[in-house]
Amino acid sequence: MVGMEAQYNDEAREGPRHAVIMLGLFFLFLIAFGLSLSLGSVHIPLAGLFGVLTGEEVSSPAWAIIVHTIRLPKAITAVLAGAALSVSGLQMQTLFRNPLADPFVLGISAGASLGVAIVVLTVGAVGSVLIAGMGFLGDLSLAVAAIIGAAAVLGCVLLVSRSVQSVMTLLILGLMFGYATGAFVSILIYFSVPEQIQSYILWTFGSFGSVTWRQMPVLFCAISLGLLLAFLCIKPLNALLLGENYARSMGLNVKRIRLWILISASVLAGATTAFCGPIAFLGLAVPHLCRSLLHTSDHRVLMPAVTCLGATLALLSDLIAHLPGSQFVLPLNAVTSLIGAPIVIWFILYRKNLSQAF
Amino acid sequence: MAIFKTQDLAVGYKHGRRPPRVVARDIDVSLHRGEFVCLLGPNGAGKSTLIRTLVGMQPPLDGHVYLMGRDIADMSAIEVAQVISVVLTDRMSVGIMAVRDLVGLGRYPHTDWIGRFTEEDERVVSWAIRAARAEDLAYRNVAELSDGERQKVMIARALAQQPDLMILDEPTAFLDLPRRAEIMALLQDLAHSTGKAILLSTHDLDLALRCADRIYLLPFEGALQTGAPEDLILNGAFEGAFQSEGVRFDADTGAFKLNAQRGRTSVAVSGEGRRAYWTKRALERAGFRVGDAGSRWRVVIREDGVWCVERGGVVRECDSIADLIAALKSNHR
Repeated sequence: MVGMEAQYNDEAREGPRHAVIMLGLFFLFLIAFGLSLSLGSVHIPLAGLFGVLTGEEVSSPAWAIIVHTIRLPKAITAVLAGAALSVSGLQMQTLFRNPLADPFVLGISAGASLGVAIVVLTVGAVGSVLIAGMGFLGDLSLAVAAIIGAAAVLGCVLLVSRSVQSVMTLLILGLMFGYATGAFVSILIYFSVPEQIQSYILWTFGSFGSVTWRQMPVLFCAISLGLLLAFLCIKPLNALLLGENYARSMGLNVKRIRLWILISASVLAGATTAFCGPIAFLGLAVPHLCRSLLHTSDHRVLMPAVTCLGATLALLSDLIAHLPGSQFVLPLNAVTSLIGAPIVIWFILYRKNLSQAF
Repeated sequence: MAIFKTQDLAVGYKHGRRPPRVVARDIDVSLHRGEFVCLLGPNGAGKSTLIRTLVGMQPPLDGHVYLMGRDIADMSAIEVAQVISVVLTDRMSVGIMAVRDLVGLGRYPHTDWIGRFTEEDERVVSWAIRAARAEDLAYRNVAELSDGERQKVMIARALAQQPDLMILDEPTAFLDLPRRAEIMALLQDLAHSTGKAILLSTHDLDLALRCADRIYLLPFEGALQTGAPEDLILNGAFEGAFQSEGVRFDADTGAFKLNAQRGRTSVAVSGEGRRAYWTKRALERAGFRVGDAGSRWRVVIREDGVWCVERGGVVRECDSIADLIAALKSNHR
């Protein structure tokens, strides 16, 4: 009886406990955002930062330029990309009921890579002058190529998903799309010169720093749309925890919801990859961290938590990649995985509730 | 009016352009309020296919299913979900979730876009947990439940959906005998006390015969028969449906018996009560036939718990059934 009462009390505390953790996550996010504006090769103190953001006179005019043209767009991009990848990962893990699923399981990033590879490795050779001459479009050319590539794969996946009964089949088909597009990239690389290959490899390292203010509205709209769709799918995602058969028996139109989830997750992953490169790890790890931290699989709690933590970790990864105080910059993907993996491993071994989640 | 009715229903599988494989056809059944019905039949007769068709997991090959007088094919998924709820055999891992939240998922067709609970929803969930006798599980983590506890929770979830009809696919599979009896008694009680119709498929012949108001009997080949369990036994339907090599349905006891083809040597048993009953069972198991007093072998069970084996005046005393069987076998050879 005593044991039961203890459990009861535990549960009664669950609601407030979630609220406290969410609040903590949000504060962490604010701190990370502030730090990413303040730290870098040039340190801008907090007071100066406030001055710059409110438009007052500050002691060094260079600060305003640094914040406005470099750090603010980079930070906003990191927030959007981190949130997008993490939410997309959560959707994939629930849809496929698979802890290894991430935003890229359906070959979205492979499609984007192919688009970029075609531009960098072929067009780049004959038409770099052409692209430079296209102005705004040239500015967007990598992103446009990546979007076209991602959209092509997304189109294939959606087309197939209409006739596929089992979600497992879809997962395997997605993997196959990924391999096929990867093969094309290999062939392109094989026939390219080292300079082109290097610029392609640089793209695959990922970066939040290449989005300009002109491109920002496109990224912002795409990711807002994806997030909106994802939040509208919270209730169906909870029902899908029971499996598709139960979800159907509770009145869910499984095929339609599956389509919406795929569209949402793919737009999020596709837009992010197009503008920032294939950023690894966040989409896989953040949902696990949130589940473990909040000890729940309820998407009403997870969805906002994942959005917040995803943005925070993206900001922090970028911060670490820029090695504040130095002129060096590490590849973003190396940072997310190198620092992220041990954290997740420790978390999972320490909290021991991953096995319950799947 | 029947809650649920099928007309000329044919179930089976359709693959592309090949002709469909019909598992069972011409199914005309109905279900009424407060009825507890068990679907029985040998493996491969199509019980699962029928259940899957009734809950809408696969389309019927032919015929109609009517729910509250409306053709289920014309109803939306939400409309169906408000009348039927199910307990399936799917082994699912729901993730990190308290039992109460899992039961709460049953409110799906009744809540708003994000699944917010009203007081009414909370009340129904509490009622469902109580009705499934899962109160002490309410705040446990679903991943930590035993099979039997999990089944109760899934029944609670189905109840929380507030259906008029519950359909359960083999809810007693994987459970030990006491748990099976508990689940069956629970479902019978729910049907009678709440007025919901409950249909379940099971392999548990004995329990079904004892609990069900009506039986749907689906033989391997042939038409589905319905009736009170006892009627189906008396008219020989059971014997027909479950006929197979080596096993037969014994209409006298309502249980299966291994065909005693091996019983060449007959043994007469004299004794009373439990000891005599189990002695006879042991003899049949060991391949002897329990015969009359004229048999070559005679076993007398004495008051002091000793078995005396006698043949042609030679008596041997045994102090356990294992001993007795050994004695009979060695002498027999």
